[in-house]
Order: sequence, then structure tokens, then C-alpha cells
Amino acid sequence: MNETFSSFDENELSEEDLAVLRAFDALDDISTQSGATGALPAPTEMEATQQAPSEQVNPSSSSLADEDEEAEMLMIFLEEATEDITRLRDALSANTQDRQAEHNPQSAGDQQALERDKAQFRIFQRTGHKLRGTAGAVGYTALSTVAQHIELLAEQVNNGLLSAQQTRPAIAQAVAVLEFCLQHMVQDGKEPEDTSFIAELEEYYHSLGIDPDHPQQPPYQPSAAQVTTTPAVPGEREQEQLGPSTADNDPYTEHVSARYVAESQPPSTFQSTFMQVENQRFNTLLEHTEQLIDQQTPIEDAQRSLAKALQDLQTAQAQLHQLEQSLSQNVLQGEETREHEQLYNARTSSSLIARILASSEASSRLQQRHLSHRQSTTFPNNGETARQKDVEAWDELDIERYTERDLLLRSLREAIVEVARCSARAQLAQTALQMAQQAYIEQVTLIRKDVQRIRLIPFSTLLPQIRQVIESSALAQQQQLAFEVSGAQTEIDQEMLRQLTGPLIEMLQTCIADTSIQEKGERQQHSIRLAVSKNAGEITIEFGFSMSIHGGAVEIMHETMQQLHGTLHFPRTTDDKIRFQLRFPGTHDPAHCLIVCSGTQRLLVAINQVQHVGILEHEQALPCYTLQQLLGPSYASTAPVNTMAGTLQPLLYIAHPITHESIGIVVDEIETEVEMVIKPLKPYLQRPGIAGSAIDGHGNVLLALDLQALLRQHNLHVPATPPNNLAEPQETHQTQRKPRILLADDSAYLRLTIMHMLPQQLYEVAEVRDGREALEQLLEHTPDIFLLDIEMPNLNGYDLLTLMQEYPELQYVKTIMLTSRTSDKHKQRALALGAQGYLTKPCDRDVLLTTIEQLLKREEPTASSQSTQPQHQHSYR
Amino acid sequence: MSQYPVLPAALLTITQARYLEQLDNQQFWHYARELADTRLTEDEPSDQQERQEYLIIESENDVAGGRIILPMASLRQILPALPQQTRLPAAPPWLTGLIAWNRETIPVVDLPAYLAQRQPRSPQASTPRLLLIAQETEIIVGLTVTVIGSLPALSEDQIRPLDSATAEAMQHCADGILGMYAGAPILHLPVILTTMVQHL
Repeated sequence: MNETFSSFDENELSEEDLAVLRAFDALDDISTQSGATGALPAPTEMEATQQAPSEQVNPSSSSLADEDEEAEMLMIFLEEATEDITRLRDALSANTQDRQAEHNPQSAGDQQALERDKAQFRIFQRTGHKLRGTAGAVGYTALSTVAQHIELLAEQVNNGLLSAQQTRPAIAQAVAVLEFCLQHMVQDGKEPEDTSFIAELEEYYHSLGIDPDHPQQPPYQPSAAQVTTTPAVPGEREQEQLGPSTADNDPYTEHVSARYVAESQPPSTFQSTFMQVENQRFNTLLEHTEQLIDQQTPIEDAQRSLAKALQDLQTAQAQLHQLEQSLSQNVLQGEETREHEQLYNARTSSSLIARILASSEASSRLQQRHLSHRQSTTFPNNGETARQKDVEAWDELDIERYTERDLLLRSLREAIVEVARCSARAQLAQTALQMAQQAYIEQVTLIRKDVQRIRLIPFSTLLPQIRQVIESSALAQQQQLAFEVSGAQTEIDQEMLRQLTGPLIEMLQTCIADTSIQEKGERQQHSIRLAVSKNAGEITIEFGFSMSIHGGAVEIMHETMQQLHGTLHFPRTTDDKIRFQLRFPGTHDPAHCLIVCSGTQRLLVAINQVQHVGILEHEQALPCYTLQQLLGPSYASTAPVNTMAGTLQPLLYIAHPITHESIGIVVDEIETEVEMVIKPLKPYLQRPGIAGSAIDGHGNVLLALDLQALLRQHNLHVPATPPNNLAEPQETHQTQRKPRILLADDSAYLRLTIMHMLPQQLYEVAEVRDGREALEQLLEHTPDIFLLDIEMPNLNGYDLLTLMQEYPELQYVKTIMLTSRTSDKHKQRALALGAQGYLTKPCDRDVLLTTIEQLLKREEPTASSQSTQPQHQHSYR
Repeated sequence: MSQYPVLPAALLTITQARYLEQLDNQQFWHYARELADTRLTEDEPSDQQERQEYLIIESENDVAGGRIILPMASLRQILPALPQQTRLPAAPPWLTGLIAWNRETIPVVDLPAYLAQRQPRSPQASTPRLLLIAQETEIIVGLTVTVIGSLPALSEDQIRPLDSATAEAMQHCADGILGMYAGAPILHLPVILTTMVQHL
């Protein structure tokens, strides 16, 4: 994907552009003499070698074509140099105006001046750096040296080693020298031969007590007056909030006026509405409430045990009842036999009266027992009643009538009645316990939520500081800048907000500090959009900029986002020039999850990841993965998934991380739906696709899955292919493709130079001009080699290196830094962030090509070789 | 010699006996003196003697005499080994899983397998395994081991430098070994834990 330089319309050219063109015309006249007469600077090594590829590519190319190309590149350089020097001059002029404005009584104070100084010197540093690199690459040493002075001086100011006031005249003088050089080059086509002006310039620096190469020690400390912040004037603040300019239709939309209102403190309402809570105490309280809710499981277990005991009791009761019946029957039969015997014996006695009396008594007793027995057997459901009646009929005074067996039987019956009563009471108690337990759990959940909410504050408490940064930025001073906010009332844990505040403010300051970064033709009315939202416990803070911004956002935010276990995203945008999202979990918020099983392992899947749940056997054909495929063989179920006869396979539908199409994840079982607090794993336990872990009431660890990340990780090792697209010839074709090189540099001149160095017949080269475009290209057309500059708009080189670590699919890209930063500090940092080569500009062609070749020959699978690996079919149906 | 054993008599394994057999006269008498000194130290009446400072655990590394000595200073708790563990994807073979300890998710490592850098052996039913909770600053790891005994405090001069055979056999974790005692390496747990989590 080679970008082409857009042709320009001469009618739209500025006076400066026309001056450059005139210079080009003048160069045309002397172009043929350049090599021989030295009218152009002596070619650097790079220039000498950059001709070589063109000869290789097209050996028959004429010297005329080379000269045209050389002149074209020179013109591009002059155009860029003119732009850079104009930026420096503009920044100087803007500051002079600001200084004059400070005498205005409406001025908001020294804090604003400090902010302006910072912004101004960032422009000096960046522009000086860029000009040094491009001028050095083309061999204009005087221009490069003076630009380097500006960069170093500005760096010293930014590091607090020099005061802005002291350094400004030096930079003004350096800019004047640059203009002189440029003028000379435009007129004569070369730098001034007499470079004594550099020595004079350095003398001037020394007269001011500064030295670009040797920073002053100890570090410069801003005076008390400069760091003192002026408290907000209440009247002014009220006016700003109530005035029509602070809000259009959207209450959270405001247009920043150039008038600055100092606001170094959050609004006073913050202090009156919120109280301060000692962090450690809060954490202890939270921990205790979490432990309280964890008691739910033991209580449920105890309740289950009680229910089981009750069931056993009822079973035992039934058995006793049965036993009593059979016992009664046996006793009755035994009594009948004995009474018959007694009757017979009486009949055989000599006393007739005695026999009659005995017979009558025995008959009466038998009748009574038979009646009693019939009642208990005829109405088994009323057995209790029968026994009750029997008990009631029991006559304690007539105890002599009863035999020992009668007494035992009666005791048994009484015991059964007592057991039945206990059982009923226990059942009632269990019901009451259930109700109390439910109420307890509801109450505990409520307390837990309340405790969590104690530390929540709306994001809007941070807005005044954000507004202040935007209002005091150089961009807002020079151009119209709208600031739109949505979701400012989203509540965030105040500890997290505290962690975020510093980096967020610094990031915003960095992003908008450098007005020189604005591209030509970018509209003069800009906007910054801030959207805060919370979804399923995850907080998203999104910044959108309608204009190009200074790189470095990732560098600033990376560590904080790691601490918050969050991620930084750069979604595609059509509304903004660049947009980035900070996403992080809101701590202590329980997530609504499914417990799924893969083999013997139970895992959590947050419900917000799942589009819907289906049954594999009932769904139409679609690409599917088993969870075991994604997690690895140790998660295999005991029986193969697709051979488990008679079992229905649950299917979780998720959106594919790249194509966003629905894709199925087959799990062995969906056990239940729960709310659990998911906490991040310790860094050494973190794995792609594992969002964290939760601990259930039984003390088991459950891993929480990030299915999309898991899928991405899986596809990295086993590239996904549509089932119908497994034709083998594709592999042969792909193995022969040229290695891809992506070149990211904000200097058109340097891009063109490097492009000329790279043989087009060997490599497929793409170029991008800033970090955002580079990231898009990296993800869409992953290169084998990435040539990366450090200083770039939107995302700088370090930003990109940091971000690349977050994308497993980019792990095989070989990055070579190609920068004008020569210090070992920068090199070490780039290598630590994953760069595999570090070349400084101007770069020798042979060195560049050798480095590329060496990296391509390394054994690790490259992006290209990856795509030639045997394809795996993921749809197994 | 059995009159002055450094290790409990029950711990004189075949490997230990072989170790003694391999010693030449000079080494043997040096070792004997070492044992005698130990005994003298043990005889001194002090509370410190009573306290056991080291655990002797089974090792999978034959070179190290089949035993490893583990200081108890870094241990937070000793529990019976838990059969129920949660698997972590892409884990090395010696990481047996994750467990919850004090409401924290911690890894469980089969220590002998880690030291030998191989798959954990299936535990023998007769030798119950223990879970040692070890902590070094923020790093908390559960170590599954088979404990075969304990030792009282050792003086510095009792700890010998690492011999070459053991150093070679335990090359990957040589930095985490304090020295040797009676042919068994003494682990320096803080270093072992720090190195261990780097390989997770």
C-alpha cells in the first residue's frame, strides 16, 4: 500500500511555498553543476547510496532522471524546512503577544504563563528536533547544528534546567540564524560557506549564561511567584458556569473562550459533598463485607444439611410408625391367644361363676382393642389422631388393667407422637430460617453495595482540572476549541480517579501542547470530545480529538493502565482525527457471570461477552470452537465433545474480535448463573484470555475468561480460515510473496529517501506519516519489518512499541528504529520496549539493508511465514 | 558414627549411606567432626535448639542425595496438600494449579519437580504430601512437598559450599541455594520464589 504524495495546486500556495518553488527553479538552473561544482552540499553517505537502488532497479535510468529526483527531494526538504522555521517564528511571536496580554488586569496569573511557556518550549523542542534530523540527513550541517541548539535549549527549559525567560532570546537569535541560512539556500542553493555565525551564536548563548550542550546545575527552580496559583475568583467562576457561553443545548458541552479563569482547586462543592475516608480503613471494611457475603455458601450448606436431616427424620418417623403397627398387630395376636387360653382354662375350672366373669371381662377388653386397632388401620392418614385418642383414652388410674406389653406399646406410641411433633417444629423452623437467610443475604448485598458506593464519585469532579488544561493550552489561545463531555456523572472509585488524575492531565497537556503539529489545511475550529461510560462494571474513558495531537499519550498512560488492570484502545474514527479509549474494571463490582465447565474445570464467563446462548445441535452451521480448543489439552473433557451421545452441547455466541461476526464457543456444561467479584491475577499468573479470578464460597478458584482475547490468542498460533477456503495452492502463492516493510516517519523527505533505499523488486513497502496510521497499517497489513521513527504526531515511536506488545498478532513484526535520536538512553529504551534494531539518521543504505536482511533471516516465524502454516478448520461440523 | 547423627537415624537413607561410602578418609573424618560439633551444639540448653528451623523434603534430583533442606523462615503456613486445584492455561508442568489462600489466588508448585525441571511424579500413597505457603514480599506461592524430617538451626560454619555435582545438576536454580549440609542442598527461598515466578 504505497501512499502517493498528493499533488498540490499552485494557486493555493502561500508566499513561502512560492519562494520555495522559486528556489527550486533557481536550483534547476544550476542542478547539473551540483555534483561537479559543489553548488549543492556534498552528498552524504545516504545520498550517495540512495542512488544505488535506483540503478539496481533500473540500470538504464539517465542521469537527468537522477537530477530531477534529487531536485525534487531538495524541494521537499526546503518546503519542510520553511514550514518548521515558520512554526518556530510563530511560536515566538505568539509568546510576545501573550506577554503583552499579561499586563491586562484580567490576566489569570502566573500559572497560565507557566503553562504557556511549557507549550511554547515543547514546540521549540519538537520542531528543532525535526529540523535537525531532516537537515542532517540532507547534509546541511549549519542548519542542523542551529536546529539542534534550539532542541537542546528547549529540552533544558522543559526539564527545569533553564528558565524560559532566560532562554527565549537565545532561541529567537537561533531562529534568526535559521532564517538567514534558509534565505541563503533559497537564493544560492547552498548553505553559507562562512559558518562563523554559529560561533557568534554560541557566544551569544554564553553571554546569556546558557550552553546548549552543557546544562546548568543545579536545576533551575521556578520562582515562587511563578508557581503560586491564584485562587479562583468566585464571581468569575459563577459567571463562567452560568453564562451562555459555557453551555449550548448540551449541559456538558462548552466552548472554551480565550479568557482564562484560574481554577487550580476543584469546586468547593466537592469538599462539602464528600468526606475523606482513610483508605486502609475503607479497605478493611470492604474486606469484612466481602467476608460477610462469603458466609452465604456455608449458610446454604448448613441449610441443605438441615433439610437432609429433616428428611431423614421423616423417614425414621415413617419407619417407627410402620414398626408400631406391626408391633401392635403382633401384640394383639399374642394377647388373643393368651386370653383364649385363659378362657379355656376358666371353662375347665370348677367354678362356673368365675368362668362367666372371666369370659365377660376378656370379651370386653378384646372388643375395645379391636376397635382401637380398626380405627388406626382403617384411617391410616389419621393414625396420629387415633394414637392421640388412644393416649387420651388411657386411664392412668386404671393402670392395673394394662399388661406390660400394653405399657410398652403405649410408650412407643407416645415417642412416635413426640417425634412427629419435633419434625413439624423443625420444618417450621427451617422455613423461618430460609426466610431469614434470604433477608440476610439481601441485606448483606445491600451493605456491600453501599460500602462500595462510599468511595464512588462522579467523574465530573475531575472536569474543572481538565477544562483548565484545555483553556490554558496554546491551542485554545490561538484557535477556537470546543470541549464536549458526555457521561460526566458516571461514578468511579475515587482511589482510581486519584490514580488517573495526574496521568490524564499530563496526557491531555501533552496531546494539545504543540500547535505546530497541526497539518496544513486542518480546520481552524477544533474540538475535544470526552465520553465516560460504565458498562457491566467496566469503565471507559474516551478522548476524541478533531485535530492531530502530539505523540506520547500511551507512554504517559501505560503504567497507570497496567496498575488499573486496564487497556488502551485506538478505535477507528471518522468524526475525529484520533480517538483513544481507556478501559478498566471498576473495582469490587461483582460481575454477572455464567459458570461453564470444560472437562473437570469450572470457569467464569461474564454475561456481557455473550450475545446469546444456544444448543449446538439446534443451531445452524457456523464457525465453532470448543472451549477446550481455546484453553488447551489440559481442559479436555473425559469424553470427546462430538461423540457424547445423547447430551446437548451448550453454545455461547460471541462476536469475533476482528470480523465482529457471530462465532460459537462450545462448552461441556453451563452450570449456573452467578454474581462474583472478579479480581485480576498477579502479573506472573496473567495469561491472554484470562481476565482474572474469583473465589467461590467453597474456597475454589474460578478463572474468568475473556473469550475474545482467548480467540485472538488461539488464532495467533492456529490461523483461522473460512471452512470453504482451504485450497492448498494459496500456500504456494503466499510463500513466494515479497517481505512487507512498513515505514513510519512524519518527514516526507525522509520517507522518500528511505523508500529510494529499499529495492522495490525485493520488498513490498508501505509508508505512513504518523503513529495512528502506522497502528492501522500494522493491524490491517501486518508487515515483516517495521521502520519506525520516534518523534511522530498522534502516537510516537515509543507509544507504538508499547502498544505492539498488547497485540499478540504483532509479536513477530521486526521493528527497526530509524531516528535522529542518537543517545544511548533512547536506544536502550527502544530496545527494552521490543525494537530489534536501532539505526540513526542519516542511515547508510547498506547498513539499513543488512539490518533488514538479518532480521528477516531470524528463525522466529514471521508474519508472512505464519500465514503459510497448515490451516486448521475451526468449524468442526 | 551413628552415635552422633546430624540427621535423625530414620532419615539415613540408602542415598545417604552411599554418600558416606563415597567419602575418602579425610572427608569422612571431616564429616565426623561436623557431626560431633552438631551434637555439642544440640547439647547446649537453649530454646533455639528446640525450635526446628529447617524442613527436610524429598527431592527428585538424585545428585542432591534425594533430599533438600528448606528454611522455615519464609513459610507462612503448612497445610495438607489440596487435591482440588484450578488449572492455569499455558502453565509449566511443575505448576500444578491455583488455589485460594487468605482470599487470594496463588499458584501451587510441585517444588521437587520445579527443582528438577520435569513433570511432577505421581505421589506415593504412603507418603502424605504437604502444602507449604511461602511468601517473599508480594510473591506468595504454595509449594507441594513430601516432608521427611526437620532440623534445628544450623550455624554458618556448618553450611558447606555447593559441590560441583549438585551445582551442575541444579544449574538453573544455583543462585537459590545457600549451601550444603550433610550432602543436601539448602534452599534460599526468597531467591527461589523470585526466580520461580519469572518462569510462570
